[in-house]
Amino acid sequence: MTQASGDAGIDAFAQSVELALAQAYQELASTGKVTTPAAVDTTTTCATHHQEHARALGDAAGNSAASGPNAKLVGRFRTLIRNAPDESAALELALGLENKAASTYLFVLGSLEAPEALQLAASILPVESEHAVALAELLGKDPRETFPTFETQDQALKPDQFPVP
Amino acid sequence: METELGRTLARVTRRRFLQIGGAVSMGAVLTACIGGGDSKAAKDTTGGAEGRRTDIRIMRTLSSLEVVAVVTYTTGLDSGALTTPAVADLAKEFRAHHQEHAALFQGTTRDLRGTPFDEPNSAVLERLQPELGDLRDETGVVSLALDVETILAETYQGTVGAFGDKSFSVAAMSVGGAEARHAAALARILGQPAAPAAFQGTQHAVQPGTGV
Repeated sequence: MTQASGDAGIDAFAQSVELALAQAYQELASTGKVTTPAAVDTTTTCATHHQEHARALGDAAGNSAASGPNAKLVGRFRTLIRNAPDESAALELALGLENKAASTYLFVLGSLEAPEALQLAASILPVESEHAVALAELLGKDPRETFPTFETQDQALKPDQFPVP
Repeated sequence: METELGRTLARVTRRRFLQIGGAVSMGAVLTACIGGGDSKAAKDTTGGAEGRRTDIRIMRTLSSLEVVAVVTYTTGLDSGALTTPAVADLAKEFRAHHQEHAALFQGTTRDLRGTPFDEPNSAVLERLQPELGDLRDETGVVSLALDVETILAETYQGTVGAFGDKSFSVAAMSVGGAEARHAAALARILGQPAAPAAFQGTQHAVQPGTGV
């Protein structure tokens, strides 16, 4: 399937990633591996935010909106979730997803054109970064691992590897 | 005497500003991945002379805000109010980030043939002065730092799409995301949610040219 081009195509890609993230949190919750109240609270908030991001990006993508979560990402996340032995591993996985999401928004910002599309991506990126901090706190991470001087694109998810459904 | 940090900061240039966000190369990659014939790689995205003037104004404003953050953390640390070692360590770490960010924007201003701004933003500093002059306890310092980080994070978001050189937006958000992380950590220390909303706003953003 040919992917939509321009801002709409980029928004659709980001939407498919957000839907995959929301689904990953749903599946994480259903495994029963996340049980402590603070962890449940944080992961529930993350899931809700990703659903809201997906909705906004889908609206922005219009007719090009993704038909569902990014299938390849869902498959990859599902394997990781299944292999996570306990809450700590599950939170570590979620932290990785949030860092990837922040990195992805930095990546897409380089190609978006319209001010509205740029602002939408720029309003979401910091929230993914905040999620990462909340999860890192639960894991008791060293600040040097949690607070980079600059966000980077190193972990960005890319549409050639994860095509929009 | 030139310190290692000083030497590191002196190496910060506009080229580095672009490299930090990976703005040019990665943007072209995404355009190629998503498709469409409207490749940004073929366009002049620098905005010409007017764009350069705009970018200098924004860089000077960002520099001034980063200096406000450095002043805030320095005042907080010097006050002796940060009694929890982990909190004091975090304040030192965040201050170092802001020093590096400030040097980055000052270097980029220079590269754009502008005059670097190395003073704190007067408008923001005036607004913060009552709290800055009356830091009594750890909560007060962290609360003030949270306000400053929020202003910074939202200002970076506000610059996206406003640069004459379109590729600067990516680099600006590479800093903006880092400020959002600072804000989230400070919020947690205060018992507030790290991510209070699904979308960051710009209601606390400082307009380019204000206070410089």
